[in-house]
Amino acid sequence: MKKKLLLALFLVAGMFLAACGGGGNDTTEDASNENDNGNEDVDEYVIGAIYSKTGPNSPLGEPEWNTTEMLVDQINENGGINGVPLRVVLADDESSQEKAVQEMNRLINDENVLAVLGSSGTTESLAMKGIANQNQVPLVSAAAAAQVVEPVEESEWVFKTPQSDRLAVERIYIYLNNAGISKVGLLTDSNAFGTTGLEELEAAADEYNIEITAKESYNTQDPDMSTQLTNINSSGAEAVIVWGTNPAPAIIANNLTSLGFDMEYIGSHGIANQSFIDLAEDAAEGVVIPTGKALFPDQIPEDDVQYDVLNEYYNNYVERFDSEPTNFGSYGYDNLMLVVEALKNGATDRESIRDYLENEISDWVGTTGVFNMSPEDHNGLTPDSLVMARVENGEWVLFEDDAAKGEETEEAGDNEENTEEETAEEDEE
Amino acid sequence: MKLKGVQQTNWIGVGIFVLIVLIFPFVVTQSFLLNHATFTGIYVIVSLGLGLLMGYAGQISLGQAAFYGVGAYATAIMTTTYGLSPWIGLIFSIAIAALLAYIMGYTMARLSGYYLAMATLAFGIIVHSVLVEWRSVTLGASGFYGIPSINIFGYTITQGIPYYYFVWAFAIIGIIICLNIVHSRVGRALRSIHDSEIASSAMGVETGKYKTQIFVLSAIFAGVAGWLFAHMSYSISPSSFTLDASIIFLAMVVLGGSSSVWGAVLGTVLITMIQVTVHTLGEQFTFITSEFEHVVYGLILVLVIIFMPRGLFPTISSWLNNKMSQRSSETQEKKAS
Repeated sequence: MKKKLLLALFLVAGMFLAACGGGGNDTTEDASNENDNGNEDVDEYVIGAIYSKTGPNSPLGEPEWNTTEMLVDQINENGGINGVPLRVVLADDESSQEKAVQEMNRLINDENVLAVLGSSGTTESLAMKGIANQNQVPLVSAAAAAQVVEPVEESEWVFKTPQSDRLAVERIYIYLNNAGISKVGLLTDSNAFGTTGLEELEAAADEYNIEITAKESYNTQDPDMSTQLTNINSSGAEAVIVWGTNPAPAIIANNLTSLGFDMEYIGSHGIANQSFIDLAEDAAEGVVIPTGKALFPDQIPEDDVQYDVLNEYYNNYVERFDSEPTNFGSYGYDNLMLVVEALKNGATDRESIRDYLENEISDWVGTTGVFNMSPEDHNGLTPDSLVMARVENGEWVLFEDDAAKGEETEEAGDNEENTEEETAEEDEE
Repeated sequence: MKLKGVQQTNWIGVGIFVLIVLIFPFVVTQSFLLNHATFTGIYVIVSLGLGLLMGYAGQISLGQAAFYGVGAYATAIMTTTYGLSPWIGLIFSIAIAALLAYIMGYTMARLSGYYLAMATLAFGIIVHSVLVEWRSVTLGASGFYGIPSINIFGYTITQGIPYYYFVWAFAIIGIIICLNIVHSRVGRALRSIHDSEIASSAMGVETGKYKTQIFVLSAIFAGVAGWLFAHMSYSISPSSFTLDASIIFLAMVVLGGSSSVWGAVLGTVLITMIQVTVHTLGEQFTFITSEFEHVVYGLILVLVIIFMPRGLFPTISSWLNNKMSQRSSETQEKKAS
């Protein structure tokens, strides 16, 4: 009998220790919470941001994180939003779905944020999407995959700023059509980025009369892809489309060069960074990718509506962090600035921010593109937010591929403004 | 003084534990901690099953995350793709996890020790690969999404306090089931296998049968946990069901002490507390990242294995028992004198 009692006593002690451990944090954080809540409407706007600063997605999350920190400082130095300071609670989900769920709950319920930005990856963003909808909190994601904001019925509270993979695929196909290439082989990573890319590449092929002659895949850490390239080459492909993030695409570029096959190398926006060129060295020459304009703001024509916003952001970022913001940084910029835009215009609670983002964002110029949100489209971008880049002499160089022609027919009547921009760009060239 | 093998279930302990679980959300109002406590409940269910397998049957599984994943994906596919009720999803989660474990257990009944560990390790990797590659069914690496919430009597169980109670209800049922098994004839048979497989088979214990049964049971626990996990969020992805997850489950059981049902619970709570502590410290000191968690796990595991090879719970409870019996014998001596 005593034994039982002891066991029980021990349990109580253990559990109370556990509770106290939690309780300790609780009181301090609660106290600060009360302050926030009491003053929230008057004293500051609180936004949450979850990015993958560490873990496999850190090349994405880090520029997003840095950008957010930088912008908040800038906004507050300039007197906040309509005189009200902005506070962003930054959280790192460590590229893990469970952590993203926990942080999302913390931001919404404990920090009582008006909106949440992030996360960097698709799986984390999808997990956060469910909580955003359940709690009715606007979420602006930085994930690539279209399913973050589709189907629209399930994405009432979710928006995203990066171009969906679909747009990148369409941009590549437009380029291929113009270059007269119709037979392609696909070489995709087996991770989330590669598989969504593969799906979109398959889905859009017919529409652009592209014939996929071979489909090969590789694992993220594979050291050599010669076998897959040989298979693709023997299938009669004129070009190979590689969908992945560093370092594998650089290895593939090297493999392709050493095999000496006569196939054009087309990459994804996943390698839109200098490190691809550093890794692949000479083999990178001639590689073509679709990319956001943030890769090389100085090469964007000056009459582009995005020119000012992009260059200012890019220069500030390089000055402060001494590294390139990459396209991912630009997603972080747009995520925050969209919500700031809503706050500026008097949408200061969760529901009105959502309504503002859905209905009032039209021709909004960001660093990623020109956004036109609508109840049917929570991304709001068109393929012309992407440009084509080629590696020339160890640098990414913007080039025109008569895409404007292709796009004019694509979007005629759909979005006149954008077509005008395109032609303007073309004239400049 | 009763013999260890015929111990009765300690209902007072269970009662107090239930009370603590019930009170927790009122003491700790922070959603972040509540969410951690909900995850703890899910992990407790997995580690209970694993604890039975390891502590009582003496088998090691490095593939427990696979059953957890199978449970999650089974219900996700049934409820989302085929539009069935989550409750029917639960049946599938249990059935498919159990079936896989039965096939595994049947073929592996003669394996033990390192060989069994290797086989379960391989099984875990295979299941993970299937989840990633079978894109037409699982939607691949980017994850399965659109999973509905659970309804009970027309009430939707959302994340937060409702889901916390829901998960812990299952966890406590699991604890009670385990306690009953441990204190039954089957429990004694299992313990004999743990101590000496040869001796127990010589005594007429069907070792193969019991090993398969307990393996299936541990898979069922993991399957139920997977079901709870899947319906908690809108989406799941294979990244939650990797070897890493299997090893964390293992660490929970070893830390708490596999020879006791409560050990698995204690180990899970402790591992979660480490996570929370590292996170809280990380907010203050930016150099403390999640990598610290792994350092702390490793350190604690090494210390536990060196100084308390039976795990925390059995060591501490027997230490307390000794103290108490010493004191009572002292008082008895005083009375006598």
